Amino acid sequence: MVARLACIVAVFVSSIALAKPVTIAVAANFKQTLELLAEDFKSQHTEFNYRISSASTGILYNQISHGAPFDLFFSADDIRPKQLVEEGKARQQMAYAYGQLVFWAPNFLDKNGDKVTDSSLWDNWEQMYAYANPKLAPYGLAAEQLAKQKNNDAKIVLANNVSQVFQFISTGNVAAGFVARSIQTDFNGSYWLVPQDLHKGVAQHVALLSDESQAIEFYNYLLSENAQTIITENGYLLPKI
Amino acid sequence: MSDAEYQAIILSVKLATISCLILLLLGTPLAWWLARSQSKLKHIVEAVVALPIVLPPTVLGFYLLIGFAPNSFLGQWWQAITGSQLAFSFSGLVFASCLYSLPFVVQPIQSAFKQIEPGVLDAAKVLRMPRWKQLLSVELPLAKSGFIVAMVLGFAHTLGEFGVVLMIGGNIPGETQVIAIALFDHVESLNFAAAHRLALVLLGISFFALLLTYGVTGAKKRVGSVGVKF
Repeated sequence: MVARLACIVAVFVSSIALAKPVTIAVAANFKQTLELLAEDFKSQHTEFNYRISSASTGILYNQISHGAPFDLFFSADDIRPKQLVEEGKARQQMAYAYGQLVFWAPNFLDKNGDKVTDSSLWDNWEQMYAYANPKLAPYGLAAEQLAKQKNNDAKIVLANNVSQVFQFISTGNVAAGFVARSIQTDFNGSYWLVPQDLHKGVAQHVALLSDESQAIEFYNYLLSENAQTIITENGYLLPKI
Repeated sequence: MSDAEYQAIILSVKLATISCLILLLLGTPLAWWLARSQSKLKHIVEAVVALPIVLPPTVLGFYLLIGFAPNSFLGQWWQAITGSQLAFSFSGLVFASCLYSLPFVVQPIQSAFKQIEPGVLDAAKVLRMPRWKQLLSVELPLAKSGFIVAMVLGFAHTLGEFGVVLMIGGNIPGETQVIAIALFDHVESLNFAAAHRLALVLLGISFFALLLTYGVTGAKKRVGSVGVKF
């Protein structure tokens, strides 16, 4: 009896050990939130094991087009997941979060020495500022729309992605810039949370690339209350479903 | 070729040329000292010079970004002298390239100085040739091939510089958008035709630079010994 139990346990354990990990590609801005989601999912499904690969949306799309073995792809835009479905490389796709754009100037104070946390910060801004490359990053595209409406001749520095904008600002090389709210949940200094109706928005979509059962379960879990709480706690809005 | 691509190519060539000239001016005395010195400090300096070969360029770039900050010593000093900032400027790229390509210029010149027969130098001494004249009319001409290798490698290495520029450049057309960055942009935004064009330009320039090097030195051994990496 004991031997038989031991046998069953051994088979069970080895089946877990041999389960192929779900490989998830994620746009850099969502990586930390995804890790929290995966850990939360794992706490409910102990057999879930996963690997996360993060890069920019463009790079990951390229890799997937060339047959990279990903099961899920969390993009920072809606264009590429839709493209993957059209190309037959993804089974389905859906919105999982809306990114929020923040104009952040940590050391800026107004005439009275107070922080500014409304649109006047951006309206009166004339120094050099940074945003992500609009060709590569949806957050950059949103920022560019605002910059074009403003059309003053402040010098603009393009970063590779929102993380790099954050780097430029936090090292003090540039006084302000457009970052994703998700990069930091509480911004020190002056900042302006850009209302969603001022730009096209950053709709982030996820594509399901394989028919691995664990990948499908995790994909469906994104719509659960737990997942939505984690997503909003990390500086994203929920898609209007 | 679009205007932006021409601009990127011209900017890269300008950056590589200026960095190369500065490195030759600064690197030659350093290489000579390393070749001739018996000092205990020598190996430490040699190791420091070779560090950019080992450090990942993005890491080097990240520390430069911190170093260029307006509240750092270097950033303040530059601001005081020129009134402009180092990050996101062409001057900043020149500064970074000089650091990044230093071993590629110093090492070939150093080994060329080292390979001069001691007998030749002794003969010059016997002829009562003054030290400066020895240097100008004996040592420098004999080390000529080392200088050519250093120039070509320094130039080619700076031309392909990517990680460092990505961290400190800010992708400004005509100021910091070099070939490698423009190429990366095209690949990321799925504009493959433009990417292929720029890649061909880079390949062409690099191939001829290396062909020239091998032609001049006539031996692969020496180029290998200065740590060329692809």
